[in-house]
Amino acid sequence: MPKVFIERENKHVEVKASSVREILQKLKINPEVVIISKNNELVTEDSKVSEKDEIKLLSVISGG
Amino acid sequence: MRYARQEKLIGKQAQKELSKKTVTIVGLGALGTNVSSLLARAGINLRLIDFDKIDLTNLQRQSLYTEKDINKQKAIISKTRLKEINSEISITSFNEKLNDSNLHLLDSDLVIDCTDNLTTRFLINDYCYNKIPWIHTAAIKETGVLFNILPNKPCLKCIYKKNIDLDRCEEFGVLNSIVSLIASLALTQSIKILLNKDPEANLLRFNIWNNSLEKIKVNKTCEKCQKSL
Repeated sequence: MPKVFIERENKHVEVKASSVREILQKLKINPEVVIISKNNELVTEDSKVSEKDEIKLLSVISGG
Repeated sequence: MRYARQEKLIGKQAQKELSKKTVTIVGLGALGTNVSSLLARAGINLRLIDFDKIDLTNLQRQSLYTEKDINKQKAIISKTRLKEINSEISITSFNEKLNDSNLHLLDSDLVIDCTDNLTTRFLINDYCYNKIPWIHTAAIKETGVLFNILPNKPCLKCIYKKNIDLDRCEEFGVLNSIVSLIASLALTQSIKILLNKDPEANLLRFNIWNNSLEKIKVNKTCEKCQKSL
């Protein structure tokens, strides 16, 4: 299963899913509040995922 | 003499080139004060934009201000302090909030986004698109980000699709060390962009608590950038 890091919760989980969209749905995370990296590359919700992929759900940083 | 140590690294000619360049800093908060101080010391001319006043809670991380400056305008105090640091550079300050009608204030060799909201960042993105190089910076809690947005390269909308502002420093706090680190990265990238010396292409994300640096590749995914493919 793809490994998923949820930055906001500082938590690693494994989610059985074939796409980023499915991961977000299963984790009940609004896609508008995160940026998504797959193996250190920014991807969209449409991106497919495989077992070896490392997904990070990163918070949008706003402060200056 | 002033730039002797820097010239050892970049060369006298490059220092001369830098002295002809002007960088616009949007936002004179934590990132803006730290990066403008570094740019002034490096001999780069500045345009400063901020509409806000100095508050006691700013002093923990906004390095140009002191207790006697509270309630004074950031743009005015910043210019005074930076002139004390380097009287040889040109510094213009604008006590204004960036909006649709004053975007011409960004006209310069490079813009550095030191704001605290995506609304202003999208304004900068649209105005500078394929025209003026700019650096997106942000920091909160113990994490900071930096991304160089250069003509014909991925833009801010390739990272952030919508205007959402979730985490604010007022609510979540920020370490002054992460601000200082991101400002240092921004100064380094500024020199590289201004001298055309291979600036960073990836989105940089640094967590100063864990000492973890991520380099994330950004592709042209927004509608506008996709059209240029």
